[in-house]
Amino acid sequence: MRLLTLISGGIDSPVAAHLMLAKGHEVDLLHFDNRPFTDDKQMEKVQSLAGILYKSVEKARRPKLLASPHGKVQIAIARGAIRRYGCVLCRRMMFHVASMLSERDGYDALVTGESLGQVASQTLMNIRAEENAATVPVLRPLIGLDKLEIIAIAQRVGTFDTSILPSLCCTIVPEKPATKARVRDIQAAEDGLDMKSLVKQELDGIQEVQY
Amino acid sequence: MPIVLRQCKTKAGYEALPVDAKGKWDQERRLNLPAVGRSLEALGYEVTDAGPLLVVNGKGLCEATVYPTGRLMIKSNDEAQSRSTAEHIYKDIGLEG
Repeated sequence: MRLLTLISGGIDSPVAAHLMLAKGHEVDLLHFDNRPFTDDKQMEKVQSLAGILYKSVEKARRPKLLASPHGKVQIAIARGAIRRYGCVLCRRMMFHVASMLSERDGYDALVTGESLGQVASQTLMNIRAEENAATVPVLRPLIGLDKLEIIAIAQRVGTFDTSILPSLCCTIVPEKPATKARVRDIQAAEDGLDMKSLVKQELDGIQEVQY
Repeated sequence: MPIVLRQCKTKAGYEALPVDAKGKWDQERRLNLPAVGRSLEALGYEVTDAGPLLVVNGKGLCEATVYPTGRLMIKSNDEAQSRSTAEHIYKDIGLEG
């Protein structure tokens, strides 16, 4: 399968990408570049992680690393939607953009590093509200693993030390993010945004990044 | 004005809080961010108004995020630079502890 993995600079998504690479799938990486709401180190980490992932599986095809400019979308969400829905809307936008990219460039599915209940925002209701934006299947190879299991794989693969390097957390996270977002409420929140234009703007800005 | 400065949990930045003489941070404070943004721009800063926060850059300081409570998130792992950035921004905002 041709898979598009949504990769941050954290611990989980590189592990998800590795597991799918190790299964023999063709994997490319899509990073949502959150600047100015994070720092430059996040991108540097993702570039390093891409190189480690490539070497983590013998004879793997070299994953393409793509960066999607997400900062302006974050501003539109923060200005135009109920504040506590910010994180869910941000994730939905990632699914909107990644789905359109998949349809355009022929990816069969998306891969994410989500594991259930690991952080407050990764509740079943939020996951449902977020994946509702996807128009291609979303694969979650880590969904049933706990953090220690994910860390053990990251250490074995060699991504862990890079994932834990200092980089700024997202600075536009709402003070009290929604943990039980309902699909209809989130869709109503999106109605207040110019989604078509935001998705197109972000899709058009996607660029390949060398590593 | 006293400033409490602490490294964020990822150690990639510093958080600054404007406090009173007793070290208390008024979490109920709500800055008028659009007005703050305009005045900082007039002073030569580059300002991105993201609605519930401002991203402030320039004047040789570290990039910083300004929240309505007066909390700053400063993109630097250097304590002295972060403190200097916070002092300048608070002074230019006219924030009293």
